[in-house]
Amino acid sequence: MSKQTNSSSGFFKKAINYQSVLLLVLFGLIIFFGMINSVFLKPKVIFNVIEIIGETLIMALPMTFIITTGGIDLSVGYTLTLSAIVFGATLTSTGSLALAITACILTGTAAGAFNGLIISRTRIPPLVCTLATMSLYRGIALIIAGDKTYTGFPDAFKLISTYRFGKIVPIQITYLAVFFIVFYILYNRSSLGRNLKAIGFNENAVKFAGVDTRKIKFWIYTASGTMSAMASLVYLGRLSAAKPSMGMDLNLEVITAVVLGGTSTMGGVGSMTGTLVGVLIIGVLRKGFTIMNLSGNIFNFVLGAILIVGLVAFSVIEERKKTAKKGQK
Amino acid sequence: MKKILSLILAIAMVSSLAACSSTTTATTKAAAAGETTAAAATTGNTGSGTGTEYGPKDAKYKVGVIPKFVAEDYFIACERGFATAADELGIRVTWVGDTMAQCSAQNQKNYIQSFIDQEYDAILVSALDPSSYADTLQEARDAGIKVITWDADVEVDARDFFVNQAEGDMIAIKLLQGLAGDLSSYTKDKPATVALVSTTTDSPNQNAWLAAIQKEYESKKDTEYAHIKLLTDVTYAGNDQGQADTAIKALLSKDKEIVGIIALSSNTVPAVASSREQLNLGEIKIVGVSVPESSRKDMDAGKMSAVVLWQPFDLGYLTLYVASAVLEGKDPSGAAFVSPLSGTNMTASFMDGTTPVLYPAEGHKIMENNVVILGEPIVWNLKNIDRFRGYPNADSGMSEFLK
Amino acid sequence: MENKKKFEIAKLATREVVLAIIVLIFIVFLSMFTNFNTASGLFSFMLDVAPMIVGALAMSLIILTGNIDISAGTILGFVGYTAGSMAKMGYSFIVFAPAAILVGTLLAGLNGIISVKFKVPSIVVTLAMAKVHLGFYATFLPNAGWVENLNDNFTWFGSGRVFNIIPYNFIVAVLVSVFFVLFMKYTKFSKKIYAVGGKRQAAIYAGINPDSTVIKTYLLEGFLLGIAGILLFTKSNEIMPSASYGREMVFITAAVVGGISILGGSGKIVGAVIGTILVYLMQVAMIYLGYQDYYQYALQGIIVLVAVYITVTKFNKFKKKPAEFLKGGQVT
Repeated sequence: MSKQTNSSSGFFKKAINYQSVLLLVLFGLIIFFGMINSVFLKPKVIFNVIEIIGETLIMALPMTFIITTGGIDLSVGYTLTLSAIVFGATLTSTGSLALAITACILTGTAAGAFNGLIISRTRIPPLVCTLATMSLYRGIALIIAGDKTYTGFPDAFKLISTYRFGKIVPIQITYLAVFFIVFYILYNRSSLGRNLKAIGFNENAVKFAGVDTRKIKFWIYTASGTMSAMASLVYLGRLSAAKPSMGMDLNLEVITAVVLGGTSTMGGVGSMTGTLVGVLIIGVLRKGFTIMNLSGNIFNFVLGAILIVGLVAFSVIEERKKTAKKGQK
Repeated sequence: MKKILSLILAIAMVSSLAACSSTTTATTKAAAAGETTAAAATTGNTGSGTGTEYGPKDAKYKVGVIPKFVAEDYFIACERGFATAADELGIRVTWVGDTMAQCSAQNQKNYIQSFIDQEYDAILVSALDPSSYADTLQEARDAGIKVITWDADVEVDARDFFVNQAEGDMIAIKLLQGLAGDLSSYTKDKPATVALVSTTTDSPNQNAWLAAIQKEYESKKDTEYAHIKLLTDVTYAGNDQGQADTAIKALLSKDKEIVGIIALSSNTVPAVASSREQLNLGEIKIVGVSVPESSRKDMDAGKMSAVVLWQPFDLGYLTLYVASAVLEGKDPSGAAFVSPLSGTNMTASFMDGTTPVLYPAEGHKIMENNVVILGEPIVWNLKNIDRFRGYPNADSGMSEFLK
Repeated sequence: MENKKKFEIAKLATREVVLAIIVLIFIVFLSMFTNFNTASGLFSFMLDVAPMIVGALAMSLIILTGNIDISAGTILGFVGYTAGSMAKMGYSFIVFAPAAILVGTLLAGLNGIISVKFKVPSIVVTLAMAKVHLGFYATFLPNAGWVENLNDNFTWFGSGRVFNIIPYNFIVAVLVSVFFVLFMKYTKFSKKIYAVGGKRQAAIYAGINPDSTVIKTYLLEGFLLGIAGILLFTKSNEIMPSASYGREMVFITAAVVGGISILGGSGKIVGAVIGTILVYLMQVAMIYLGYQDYYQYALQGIIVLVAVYITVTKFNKFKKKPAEFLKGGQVT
């Protein structure tokens, strides 16, 4: 039984392996959908995938941080909704795009900070905290907007999500790339990233090592809120209307993407590139489904199924790892 | 090992997709066999999660139809109308949408986008949101795809035509008249308090009807409607049953004087009936816009006298005919548009259940801004309920169709 | 010893009694301003609160083991659909009620098995399963599971009354509550539930198999959800399964308000019952005051935060457990 001796380098190898397999799955799916309906392979359509996953990716980046620490943020979807509603309300009442954008980002940040405060300062687990704030933010969004829909966004604003270079390449590629690179560097090449993974393994050990885990936790949840607000701007650019019912399903999408990408819900292990590929896979699936005239219901169903299957697969992998290690003794 | 597992994951995803496409193929086969009733019945899932195909496979035109939502009596009836017309016209129709619980403007936009990508010839949509789709619809029209709305419109310059079920004013008048008649026992000194209930603040249809009702009331409130006190506040009951129940309960608990309600969506009507029972209130006359079948029990029990609607089946049917004309380059123009429905049985009169009420032989009225009107609103009660086409069964009310 | 007794009484006085007092205040308030004190008002109250109580009981059991079930709402939908479609086919209550309850039990059991056997945190499993359920309705059930125009063989149970006031539903709810209060006090299995939720490692050393306990608890939860579903749906003559998505939040709120600790291992079932009534009364009060139902979402969020904060912090102070036992983070 000559398996890898050093578990950490073995894990590292496995991490690379898993992400490459994911990449294969991504391309496999593209080919699959292309075979079903060749329309799928048209460049315009493929690039449309990037357009539709904008908000998911933006929120999945901080979510990767959070899940790596063993936490979770269930309120991202409704934080997006709330930020969008604030945007709409501000724009409608003041007419100033700049004010609206500022208000939107402030709202998201505040929402995230609220989560961060509770999670870092009390013993309330992130699960319950964000479950409650999910409800709270949804309620606030409804109270502000009622059943109204805010519209009348300036055309210039819509361009952030709809502009295409040469009519094909979506503008999303620019800022999504920037966001991704920033988060990737923080996650993989900075002490913050290392600390996050360590917290996920054993928070107390990290505390005793002198790291201020409270501050870290506060900031990652705040960041999640801010990014939800950014995501809402991108979403609004596409939809050009703000309603309290937006963003309902995004929770599941974001979490599935992160988990699919190789970040374990137990904490300690994760991959930012995995998250990126995970989001792309979800985008391809969604686009492929609509091309096949399948409704959103089936998509959610498959998404849920993927999450479960993925988690099951992970745990089986963990079991094998453990027995492999035992075998060495 | 992990490679195998990931492969399994991929296969799991693929097989769930395969399961979905097999449902689609089943319906396609049935439809190709030319049996409309069989097609609608085989699905059993009228409005399942998959897009349903109607009409011949090798048709000259491919048309995408997106209702507000699926699996709901009103739209099931519409769907059957589209299906029938699809076979008659030899047009391929793809019907796709989400259930009420999961529908959203974003999803509808996605469907529109996918029809554009698949290069369909026309897109027919009943819009959940009048203002979110303009850019995508424009993209469709730039690509030469015809855009026609039905049942619920978008901005006038975002589509080619709108097939409306009835003129808003007529619906308002019929509703108010019906209720006023029922409340004739009240007088000017002790007027009947009547409340307005609608779905959501942003439904264009409902808002148009509300405005028409209020206008009609204002114009005759010292004469014909002197015995009615119409409340100015509108209660919004939302789109799903649970929300409707809560909102109506709140309304009726707050204002005990209400004896009449004008309910502008199919959900509010059963909600009012059940709230009345639970809060043990006295008689409340309800008049509303609803699918007759859903109110059948209430009408049986005397809780509702009548509902105002039209034939959603015919709406779907007509919309496809309008689409066909537009695709052939023969845009509806002038005063009226003639379809196979013109001059035939719309329904039977609600007074005796037998006198035929016909669609005008000269055609369906065309209004400004390229709006085609199906016909006049219909008052449905137990006398003529069996003439309602398309719901609950595929052959409901079909005996007098096109006669 | 004497100190411990005082402490026990003090703790009792803090939670359940306070809740009960608040409930009484609400009842008085509502009776004064609404039709609550009439026969029909009471009837309506009992009818609506009955399924909520049973549902909150179900959720409490799960939370006590340190887990959660976000798919409780959608499971209710399946229960309703099973009951409704069987009733439409002509089966009588004696047949479709147990069948529907069985469906609930199995579905919840599935959640438990996946969570336990594959060591997946229950939050994620049940979150995903909720969506899977929703998608299932829309795809595989005719009309997305919508059943309407149900007849008396279905609705008789929901509209039946004893002494012309007390609905059958409520009687069932009371029976179930009493049964479970006793169950949680006196049976060995209930001790296992508390142990597994409290300190898992200690439970293992004590010879308890946490996995089988958790699975059995999920089965029990499903059974209760089945009952709650029957109580819930026989009230009306139509069923829309997808509309019950979201009810789990109410159950969670009720349980948490009632003192069930979200960290697992502590809380009294009686508290959950009182908590449910309190939450329901708050809802009723808001309706009568004219607040639209969206205020409920905000209120629920705040209530949960406050209730959990109280439970989690006080617990710490009273019991003085070492910090690492109460680590925030995972709910497994």
